[in-house]
Amino acid sequence: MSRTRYAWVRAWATLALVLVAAACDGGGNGLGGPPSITAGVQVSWTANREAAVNRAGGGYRVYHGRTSGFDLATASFIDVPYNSGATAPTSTSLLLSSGDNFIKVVAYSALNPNGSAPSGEITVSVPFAAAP
Amino acid sequence: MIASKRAVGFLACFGAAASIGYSSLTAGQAMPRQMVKARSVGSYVGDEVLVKFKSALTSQARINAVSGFGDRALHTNVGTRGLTLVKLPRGRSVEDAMNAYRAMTDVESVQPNYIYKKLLAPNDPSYAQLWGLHNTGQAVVGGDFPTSRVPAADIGAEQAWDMNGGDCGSAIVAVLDTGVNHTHADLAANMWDGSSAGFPNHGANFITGEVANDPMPADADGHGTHVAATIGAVGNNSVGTTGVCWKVQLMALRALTSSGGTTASVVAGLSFAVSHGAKVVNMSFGGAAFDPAFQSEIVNARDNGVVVVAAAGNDGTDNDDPATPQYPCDFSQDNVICVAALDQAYGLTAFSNFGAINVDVGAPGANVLSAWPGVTITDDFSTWTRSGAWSATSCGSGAPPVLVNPSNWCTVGSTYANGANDVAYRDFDLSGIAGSLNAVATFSTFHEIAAGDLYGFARRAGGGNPFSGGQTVFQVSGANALDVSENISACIGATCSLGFRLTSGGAGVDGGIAVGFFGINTTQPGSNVYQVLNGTSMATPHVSGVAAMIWAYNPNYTYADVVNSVKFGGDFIAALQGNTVSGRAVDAAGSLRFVNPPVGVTAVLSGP
Repeated sequence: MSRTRYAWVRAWATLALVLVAAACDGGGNGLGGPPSITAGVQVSWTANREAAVNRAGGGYRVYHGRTSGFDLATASFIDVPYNSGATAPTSTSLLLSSGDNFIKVVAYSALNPNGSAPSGEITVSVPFAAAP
Repeated sequence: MIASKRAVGFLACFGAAASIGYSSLTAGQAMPRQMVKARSVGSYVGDEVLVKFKSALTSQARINAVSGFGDRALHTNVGTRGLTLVKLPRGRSVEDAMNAYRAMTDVESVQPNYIYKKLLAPNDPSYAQLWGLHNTGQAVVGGDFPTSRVPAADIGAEQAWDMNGGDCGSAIVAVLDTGVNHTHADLAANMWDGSSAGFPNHGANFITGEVANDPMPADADGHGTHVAATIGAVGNNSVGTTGVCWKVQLMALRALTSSGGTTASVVAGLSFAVSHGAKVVNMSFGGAAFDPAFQSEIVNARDNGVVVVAAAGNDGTDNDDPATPQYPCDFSQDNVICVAALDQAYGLTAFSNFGAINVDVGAPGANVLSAWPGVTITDDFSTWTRSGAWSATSCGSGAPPVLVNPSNWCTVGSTYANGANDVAYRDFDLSGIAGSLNAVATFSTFHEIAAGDLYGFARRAGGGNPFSGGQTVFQVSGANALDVSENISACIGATCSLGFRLTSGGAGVDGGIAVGFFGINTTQPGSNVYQVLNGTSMATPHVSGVAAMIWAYNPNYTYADVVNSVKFGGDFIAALQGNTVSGRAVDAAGSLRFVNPPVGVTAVLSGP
């Protein structure tokens, strides 16, 4: 890390501590700071063995959230439906924003549109943009 | 160091703020088409949607609107609300179309064209009696277990058959039991074909002293045939009942007689099942001893990916209590599913064992109608020829008929007489069962005989006093309780006498003899006989059938996947809460719908 950038991070960290209470508790937006970016994230998983997951009407939903233990009911997700071949796809790309992102995968079938219990949650950290 | 800690705190908070910004950011951008929240995925026609245009729109305007998307209107006035049925071109998804129509100001609503199917019921004449498969609140003819009746308290078989037609054909289910009458009219077509392996009679016999590949690894008792047909009586064949599986491969393994089996017979049978391709082994039996040899064989089954389904037991006791364990139910291997018995209202039956640690699920186990190997000749001793102190009586109102010596045997403290040579017998005319494959006399007996005195059982071809020119089957003294099964196949088509004798000397007497539940079980070729029974033995095969169905439906499943689907695809039942591991009654449809959570999830940055 360059000397300039280190100073920058330290300066902003200090400011952040001042602003934490308002930003977090008050739910404020527009904190400012280093620009958030969106980055491609490749999510992969092991193929489920249910026949119905791996045929028309089956597939996976990849949910993502910004807090650990996020609620699936209100979370964003990418649908990864069965397309063709022996199995439904077992990977997909997400565009996720800087910071920690939490990901859970649910398998579903035409028989069970609500799907399985979610997979274990994993975390991926997207870096922030370089200093302006 | 401090600075970096502060940086971490900063990033954490910024992450939360960024997620708020994320929504507004993406809202203004072109969303990936799949990113639709709270979408329901049902079973619907893949290239059609139903659009409700505003009523003011003419048919032509509706057609034009549809054509504008490159779609085609099949109907413009479906149902009271005048829905437009839209056919989508190849490559256009239902979701895309729904999003597009939803965005139109002239559209009130849009939905998929969902698919409905008739629920499949088989044409088997006794199907209406099978409450465990389809509970309509029916009373079971011949059912003696008192129960209230609640419609829909069943394993959801019709919904499951609707998904797979009852086809478990790719799964071999071994019935480790008293054998199976594989010629039964409702079983023959569903028996495992072991010809190429050298077992043309659909299984094998593990009872010591009997022929290994007996032409009849068939059922000399009835229990195994009953169990087998609950798993897989041929469905929709206009004969008798139907199994959970309409089509399956049933392997007949004779490891029990009417009085039970041994470590040797059970272990040999299970080993055979595993090495001959069984995926599920039904074990409607149990014992109280922890049996290391049996457990090793269970482990071998697990290591070969075989599911074992075991009865919880019929003592009404807690299998978790160290004083009343039950094996194989209590074996801790995770390929064992242990089953409690439910009544027609999905209450736990009073006889069923239970156990929050060892008993996994519940299933229908009272008033269960299923196949029987042949006619059963029952006897109440009323027509027996008796000499001496033998008496046909009953120890109280409602108690079963018994044959006793002394005549006042029911009175505690009574004893037989010295100097007795008392015989009781009956001639059984078995011409009516000519052509039967097997015939077995069965009874329960309790005796207390002083040293030097004798209690005997004998039979004689042609009839008459069996202790005169007949064959003595046993002659004992001392005290014991016995369940006897005596093969009397030699009597088939003829007359045979069966009888008991008490001989006593001049000194020393004891409590005497009581005999009950006397009957003759036959195994008839092409039997079309059925019987109603109660027990966790009857609950267990419902679960074996479901396990086979799951496996046939999901050929890539592991044994653990099958066990998961059985345990967690069922319905929560109040009576099973705290009494079983899962708290659930097995449900075939729920198990087919069950989807395991994905595993092995990873995520990596793939670029900006």
